[in-house]
Amino acid sequence: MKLGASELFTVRQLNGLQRVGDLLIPANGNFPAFSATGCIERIDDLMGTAHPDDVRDLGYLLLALNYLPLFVIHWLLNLMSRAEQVPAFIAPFISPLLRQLNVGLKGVVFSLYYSGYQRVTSTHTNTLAVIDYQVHCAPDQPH
Amino acid sequence: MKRMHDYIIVGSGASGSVLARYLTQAGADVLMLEAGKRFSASTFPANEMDANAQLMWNGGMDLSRDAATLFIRGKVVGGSTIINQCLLDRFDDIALNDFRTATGLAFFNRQTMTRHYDTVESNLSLHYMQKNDWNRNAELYVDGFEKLGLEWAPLRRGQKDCGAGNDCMVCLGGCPRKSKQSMLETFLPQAEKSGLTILPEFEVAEVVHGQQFVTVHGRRQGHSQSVYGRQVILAAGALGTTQLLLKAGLQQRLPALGNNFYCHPQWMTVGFFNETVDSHKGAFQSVKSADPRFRDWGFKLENVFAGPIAMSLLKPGYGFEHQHFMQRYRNMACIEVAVRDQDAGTLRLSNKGRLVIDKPLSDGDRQRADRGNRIVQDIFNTLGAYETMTSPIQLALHLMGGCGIGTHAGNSVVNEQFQVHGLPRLRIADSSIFPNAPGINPSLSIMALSHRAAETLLAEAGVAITSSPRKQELQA
Repeated sequence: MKLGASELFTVRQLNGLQRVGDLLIPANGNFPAFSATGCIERIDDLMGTAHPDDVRDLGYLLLALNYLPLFVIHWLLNLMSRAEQVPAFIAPFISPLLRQLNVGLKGVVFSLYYSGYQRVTSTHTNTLAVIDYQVHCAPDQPH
Repeated sequence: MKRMHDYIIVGSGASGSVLARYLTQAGADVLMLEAGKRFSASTFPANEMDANAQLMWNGGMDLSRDAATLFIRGKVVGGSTIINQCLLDRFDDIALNDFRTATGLAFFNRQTMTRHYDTVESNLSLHYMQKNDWNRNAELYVDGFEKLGLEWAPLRRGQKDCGAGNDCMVCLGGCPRKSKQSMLETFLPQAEKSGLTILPEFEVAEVVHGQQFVTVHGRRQGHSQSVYGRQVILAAGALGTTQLLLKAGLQQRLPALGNNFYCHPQWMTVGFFNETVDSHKGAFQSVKSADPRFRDWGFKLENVFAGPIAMSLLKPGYGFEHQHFMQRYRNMACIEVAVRDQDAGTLRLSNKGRLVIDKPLSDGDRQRADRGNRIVQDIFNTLGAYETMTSPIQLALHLMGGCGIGTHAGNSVVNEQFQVHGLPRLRIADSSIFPNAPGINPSLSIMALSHRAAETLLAEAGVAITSSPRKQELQA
C-alpha cells in the first residue's frame, strides 16, 4: 500500500475481492465477515512478491467478480469445491481450472483473513482469537 | 575490469551453503547469489502470511500443471532450510542401492556416503525427539500405532536449544531462537567467516558458459547485473536449477534435462476429537512410521500439523462449512502420508519462459497414497475420532530431479564429477541431480552430496584433500 492505496489493484478489483471474501467467510458467530476485518488492506504485502503474471490474472478475475451476480459467484465457488468430482471424460479439461481458481481465490482470502490483521478501528474479535490460535517462540530472556 | 570469482554459487540452501563452507575454507574466492532476502533470527516475519509471502517462491503457491499439487520452496538466504522442519535422516540401503542402479555410479553405497554424512553432521546439532518432547498429537499418533501393531520411531531433527514452552510451528517462518539448524545458523556463518560474499535479492536470469569463464546475468534490486566465475555451481533446487538450464537452451544437447522430476507428494488427514489436542503447540513433529511394510508399500506416515492459513486451505467448501472446520482448530489431530512416488514428472518452460511442472498423479502413486490414507483413517477410528477428513490438495516439499546424475549425456545431465555433460565449468550438486525418489527426507543427503562435490572441485583445483579415503578414491 502506498499512502493507504493498493499499488497492484484498483477499487473495482478490491471490491470484487471483498465480495468473494464475504461469501467464503461471512459473518457467523464470533467469525467476523472477511470485509469487516479490514485485512484487505494488506493485499499488497501478500501479492507484492507474486509473479507479475499471477498478479495480472488475479486482477482480471477480481474485476469479473466485481460485476458477476452473487448467485453466479456462489455457483462458481460450489463448482470449485467439487473439482475432484467432475465426470472423468471432462475432468482433464475442467478440473485444473477449477483447482486453480480454488487455490487462487481461497489462498488470497484465507491468507489475508488468518493473518490476524485488522483495521485500526475494528471492534471485532481478532480472527486468530476466534479459533483460539496462540503460538509462542522467542529467545530466552537474558538473566 | 571484470572481477573473476573462483566459484559462483547460485542458491543458498542445503547444497549451496555446504559447498560454500568447504570451498571458502580451502581459500577459494566464492560469491553466492540468492534470489530471496536476508533475514535473521530477530527479523523473520511475525506471522504465517508474511512468512509465506516473504520467504517462499510465489508465496508458497507454485502449482503443478493440473493444479493438484502445491510446491513449497524457500526464497530466502538459507533456502528451504529456513522454512522446513529440519528433519535430517540418512538414506538407507534401499535408497542408496536404487540410486546406484539408476545412475551406474558406485559411490552411492553406505560405506562411501557414511563419510560424507559424518562430516556434514559434525557441523550440526542433532536431536532425536524424546517422549518429553511429544505434544498431544504425537501421543495420539503413538497410541494409534501401538493399538494397531504398527512400528514407529522418533524423528531426528536439527535443533540446538528449543527451550521450554516454545511452539516450533513458529520456526516454519524462520526460527527466532537460532535453534533450528538451518544453513543460516550452521554452514553459512562458517563460510562467511572464511570470506564468502553473499548477494541477496539477486535473481539469476541467464547463465552463459564460455571457454574461459561463466557469466551469470541477473537482476538485483531492479538493476541488471552480471558476475563472472571460473566455475559456476547451480544450487537453486530441483525447480530453480532445472529452469536455469532450460533457459540456457540446453535441452537439445541434454535430452534428459527436465525429466525424472519427483516430489514425495503428501496428503494430510485431520482427525477431530472432543478433547483439546493443540497440535500446533510444542514440538509439532516428533514421530514417524518405522514399519518396514510401509517402506515396501512406498509411503511413510508422520505426525504433522500446520498454521491456520495452511489448514484452512486443506478443507473443500466455504462459508459456514469452512468456519465449522476452523472453529475446531484446537481439536484437530493430523497425520500425513508421504508417498515415495515411482512415476516421474517433467519440467518444461512455457512460451513465456515460466516453469511448467507436469506431475500428474499416476495410478500406482494414487494406490500408494490411498493405502496410506486408509491406514491413517484406521488409526483415527481406533483412537475414537468422531470425524476425519483427508485433504484433496497434495503438498510437495521434497523437490527432486530434473538434472539427474549419471554416466552418459543421453540419459543424465550431470556426471560423476557433478559437472554438466559437455560444460566443464558448470556444476550441480543439489536435489535436482537425484535420479529417483528416495522416500526419505532429502535435506541431509543434499548436504552430503554437496560435501562430496566440494571435495571433487578442490581436488581438481589441486587443493589437498585432508580425508585419506577420499584421497585414495580420487587417485584411483
